[in-house]
Amino acid sequence: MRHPEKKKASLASQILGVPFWIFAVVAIAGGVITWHWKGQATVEQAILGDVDLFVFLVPRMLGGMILAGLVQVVLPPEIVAKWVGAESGFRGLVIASVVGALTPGGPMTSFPIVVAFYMSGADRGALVAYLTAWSLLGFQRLLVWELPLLGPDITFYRVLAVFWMPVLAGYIARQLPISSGPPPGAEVTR
Amino acid sequence: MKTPGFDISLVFIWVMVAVLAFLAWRKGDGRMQRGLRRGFEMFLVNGPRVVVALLAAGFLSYLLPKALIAEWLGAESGWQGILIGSLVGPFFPGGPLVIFPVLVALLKAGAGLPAVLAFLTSASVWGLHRILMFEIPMMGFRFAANRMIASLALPPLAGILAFVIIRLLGPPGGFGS
Repeated sequence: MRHPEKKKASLASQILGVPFWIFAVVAIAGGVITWHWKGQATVEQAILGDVDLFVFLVPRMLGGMILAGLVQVVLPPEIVAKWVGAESGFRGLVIASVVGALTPGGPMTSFPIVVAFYMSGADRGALVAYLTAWSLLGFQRLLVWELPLLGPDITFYRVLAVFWMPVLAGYIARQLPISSGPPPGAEVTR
Repeated sequence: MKTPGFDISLVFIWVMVAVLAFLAWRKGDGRMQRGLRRGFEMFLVNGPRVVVALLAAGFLSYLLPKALIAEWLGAESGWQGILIGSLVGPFFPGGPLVIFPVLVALLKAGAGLPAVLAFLTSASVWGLHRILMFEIPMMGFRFAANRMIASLALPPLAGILAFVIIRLLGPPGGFGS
């Protein structure tokens, strides 16, 4: 690691942050309770099953995360905002859905983008389609979490069941008689 | 559970990595290095969390009352499982790091795919913590209400479609159903 000292420290504190310790405590408590209720053999069986899963998981998760990092530098949010902001109609809903599915990162990435879309003239149907696609079909979540953990079959079945939903949600949102003023988050994104 | 070391999904992920790395490299300006580093750091941060989360989920799948879950969310649970899955989804806090280990535990404990997909869809489009922490503060209450009403039917629809797809294509591999 050639990172400067400060960067390294912040990364380490992120790695051993609150989520890590919450899961660690649950894992230890779960292990103790399993040992107490079901005996040592079950604990060993559970750990062996997890080791199998890790071997399967690590190369996929590493690939997925690097992919997510690359998507963020190849596909800057400003350009994404331009694509959807300019479109409307059914085509706009489809484009918003595709862009939503391609947007990496958590809500701290996607909601600023939604505010940016709104300010650049996207209608609420496109924004709802975008958010629905991001939360249901997020490419990053699919690659990093779903494919490795649930397997290709379940992932395929799920995508088959939900891929059309963002466009439907966007269409319904457009028909609803609820209009909204400028978003409170507009100040946040400058 | 089957754990093949090598399959098409692994090839696909790394081919995509190569393609995007090439696209980023062509732009020069150190973009590729930044993307690679961001991804690798993401892995360093999330890897250990996932290890402990899966350890926790592994134990939980032995501790969960399997008979109860099979009855509530199992393959035989039908409408009731889809409804329960849809109703509990919004109350699950956290992102994929929390939800996917829970899904693994549910499936291992015998929950059916229709109920699990209703649950995941509901947690995705109606996740209350995200609505309260991000959507309402940034987009306003009316926008959030509009979106929530527009996606009201999606979780049960996902469950029903999963049921139909299993009928048409047979049970999925991996966890069975």
